[in-house]
Amino acid sequence: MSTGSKTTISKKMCLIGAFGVGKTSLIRRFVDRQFSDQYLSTVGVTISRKLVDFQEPPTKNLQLLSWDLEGSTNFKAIAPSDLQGAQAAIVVGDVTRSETLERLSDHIQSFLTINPQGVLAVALNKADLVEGKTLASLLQAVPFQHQPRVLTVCATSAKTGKAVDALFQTLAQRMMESE
Amino acid sequence: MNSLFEQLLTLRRMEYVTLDQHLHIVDVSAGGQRFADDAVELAKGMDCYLPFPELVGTEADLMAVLQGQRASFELHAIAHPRPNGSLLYFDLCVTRVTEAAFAESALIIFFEDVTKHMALEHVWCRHPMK
Repeated sequence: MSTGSKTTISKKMCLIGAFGVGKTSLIRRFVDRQFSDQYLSTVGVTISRKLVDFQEPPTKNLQLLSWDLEGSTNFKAIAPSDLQGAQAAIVVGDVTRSETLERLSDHIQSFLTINPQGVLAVALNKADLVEGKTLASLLQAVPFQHQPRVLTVCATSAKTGKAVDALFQTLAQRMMESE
Repeated sequence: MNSLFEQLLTLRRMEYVTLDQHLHIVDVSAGGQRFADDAVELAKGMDCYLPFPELVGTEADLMAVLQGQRASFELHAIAHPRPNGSLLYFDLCVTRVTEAAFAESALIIFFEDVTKHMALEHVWCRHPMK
């Protein structure tokens, strides 16, 4: 597809995490610049498109296809076919629910098993709900800082927008570089 | 197209799109449009990724089906927003075409409307049995 003089390429990325950690809210914040306090659990898979802008325009545009996957539970795992072909993933945990942070490692492993060349970002979401000190210690405790496929680990808030754009932009930039 | 085949698909609320070996659209069943992205009108020769963004990233899987290395490729519970704000949920299954009736086609994508099933699942998720 061509927009103006640039070619648009489409790339798939996934949002992975336990139910209720805020995957849909992160996508809504990034794509629609909106946030809703109303919680509606995601069932199935919803795909959102967004044309990503870059500070220094490359010769191609990137249309990011974000796959919002149903949150995993002890009884229902993520379908491998949903992860297939994704070049990146945001693995999301909820800073107010430690059990969702304990599962981050499993989610990273699931993604890399299917997409060994993929890259990831870890989002510690709902950062607006805890104090700065608690957040800092949680960020320090997350053991992925030196995982080569994990590009960034950051505290995010879909409610305030904190670090949300930067998170998506980091992955988008890397996807363009690998093109 | 075999009318019995069409009838069977209708009974199951299924539609299809066929693709050539370059993954361009060859044929669409009567109701196939409703499974495509709202903004895109299906047309012969169109690249399949434009109306069906869920196929982006599945290139290797589609090629494996095309080359007979695997029998099919499936995705489940894909949600597309409808103009009225509700969601259409569907499963898709891609398989190789072997019927002479689809002479130009190499792959066929079957779409099955699973909206009712997913609506029930949604209710269950919101009000799980205790």
